[in-house]
Amino acid sequence: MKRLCFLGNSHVAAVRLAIGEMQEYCVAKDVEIDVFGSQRNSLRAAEIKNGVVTSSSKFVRNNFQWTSGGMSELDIGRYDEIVVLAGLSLFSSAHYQANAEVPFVSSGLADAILAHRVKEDWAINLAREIAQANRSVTVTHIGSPLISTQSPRAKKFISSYHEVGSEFGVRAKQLKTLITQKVAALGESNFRFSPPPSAALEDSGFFTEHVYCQGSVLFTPEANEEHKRDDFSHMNAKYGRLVVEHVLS
Amino acid sequence: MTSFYSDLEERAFWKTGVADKSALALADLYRKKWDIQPDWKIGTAGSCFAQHIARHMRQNGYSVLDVEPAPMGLAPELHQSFGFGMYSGRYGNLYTTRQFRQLIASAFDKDPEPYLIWEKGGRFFDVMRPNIEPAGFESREEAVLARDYHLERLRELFLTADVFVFTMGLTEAWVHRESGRVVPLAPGVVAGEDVADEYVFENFSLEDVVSEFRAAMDLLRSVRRGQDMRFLLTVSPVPLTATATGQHVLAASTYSKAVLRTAAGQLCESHDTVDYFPSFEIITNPAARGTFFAPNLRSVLKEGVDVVMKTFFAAHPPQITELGTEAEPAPARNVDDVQCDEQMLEAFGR
Repeated sequence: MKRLCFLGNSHVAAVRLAIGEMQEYCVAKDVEIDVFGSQRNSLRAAEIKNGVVTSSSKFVRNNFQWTSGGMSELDIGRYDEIVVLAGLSLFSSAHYQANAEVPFVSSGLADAILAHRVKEDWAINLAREIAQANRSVTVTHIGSPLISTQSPRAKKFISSYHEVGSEFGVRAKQLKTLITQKVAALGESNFRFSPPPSAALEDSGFFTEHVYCQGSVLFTPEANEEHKRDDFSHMNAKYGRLVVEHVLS
Repeated sequence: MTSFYSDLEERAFWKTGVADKSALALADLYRKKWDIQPDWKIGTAGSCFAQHIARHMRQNGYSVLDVEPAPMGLAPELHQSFGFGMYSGRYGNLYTTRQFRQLIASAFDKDPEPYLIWEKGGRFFDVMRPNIEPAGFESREEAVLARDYHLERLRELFLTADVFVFTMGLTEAWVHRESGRVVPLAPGVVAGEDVADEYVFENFSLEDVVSEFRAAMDLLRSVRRGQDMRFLLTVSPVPLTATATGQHVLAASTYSKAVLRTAAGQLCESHDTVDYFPSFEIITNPAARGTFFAPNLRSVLKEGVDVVMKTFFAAHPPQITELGTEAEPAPARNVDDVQCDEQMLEAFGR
């Protein structure tokens, strides 16, 4: 049996909802899945002690408890793979864009941007520390979802991307290839970065189809309240399902 | 008894205009030719001293164009080393008027000559801006694509700017023999040792400097369908790091600055669209007794830049934000904190 764990902030809500509807799938795949989540940046207060991810913050421990169904600490060695769903995805175009423009990004510039992101992002650092704490566990950073195609930035991007004869689309494709190569090279030992599930993304690969954003639920134990209509960063259970399938594929 | 000098203002006399005045507040030194309107889009280029002007104008609410802003994910401390935020485009320092004219021409050239690219240690450098990629480009193709994009963005800059602030820096330059293109840095400093014999040294004359600038103005008028661009010229007060003329560097530097100052004066006198701002005079004013220069007698200290900008904003007041407050200026720095390619020449000094 494979033991899989998702750790993250509010973005784990989509996966948590999805696995509630994926019991048969999990049995068929012989996989057991746990979810640990705590809102926003509260996981900054997480620390790794004696092989477990814990926190001195009661808020975080309480959140871990209700999201995981009773565990206030994440025992790293209990899992074959831990997937981190927090922090900006390294596959987002946002890091490389300047205003609405997609500039030409050289290899050296991409390296500098990625190095800065990796250094500054607490979620990536947490994922890396977990990987270092237990080399027999695979740790994958997916990060938060790429924003919805209906967000203002995405709309502008997609419009320019599909403009006939535009160099924007050419550069965006070059950027996609460059990011994929560069981020793959950042993996080390049992730690890797993964893009979000490609099935959830629109043509350019930089945004999530809005169908996976509609009806996204708030990060609450009851999961009975939707995000506001202009929330383009949280996803629904359909997206959560794709993430689970993507990780297990 | 009266003379031609009897009714002149205080500013016309050395004693009352300079000797009796504080170097920190030279009254009435600069009288603007025209106002910079709040909605005017401003382009900036030139030698490294121009970076101070660009930064302060931006901080004081002027609409300074940046057609190649830094990607959002790049650490702010790396912006300068990748050539971002220095000027309105990622062209690095443009020390000579010929380089400026050639840059405009290349941006609109429908059949451009092959780009000049230097190779060193398996890395590739865009010769026209060798310092915008700290480790060089990964391949020749990458350098070409980067330059294509750069020129595409510059077309927008040159077509949309209402006024261009240009700081003249040098008369000495290295010219690619075959194409006549001026490069900002001598071959062999960053790269290009192997092709050094393809370049020839040239020290531009007053006529060269003026005619190249006029050609740049004509070119811009042509691509802008008759619409003139205004220019605010300054001359960099930063002396030459080194000279290739064979003269003493002090004499060579004085010659260079004299030519540039004269050229700026001639252009200002002969074109309504050209104004001259005396940053050179403010820094080199004898009343300052050299105190605006750092101990290397070359870099301009923060205090000097502050006086320059104070004088500038006294004539062109800061654009007030909607909240009624001026933008908070970032800490001023000395010229060592701006990117000066030619400082690299110091490495060759003894």
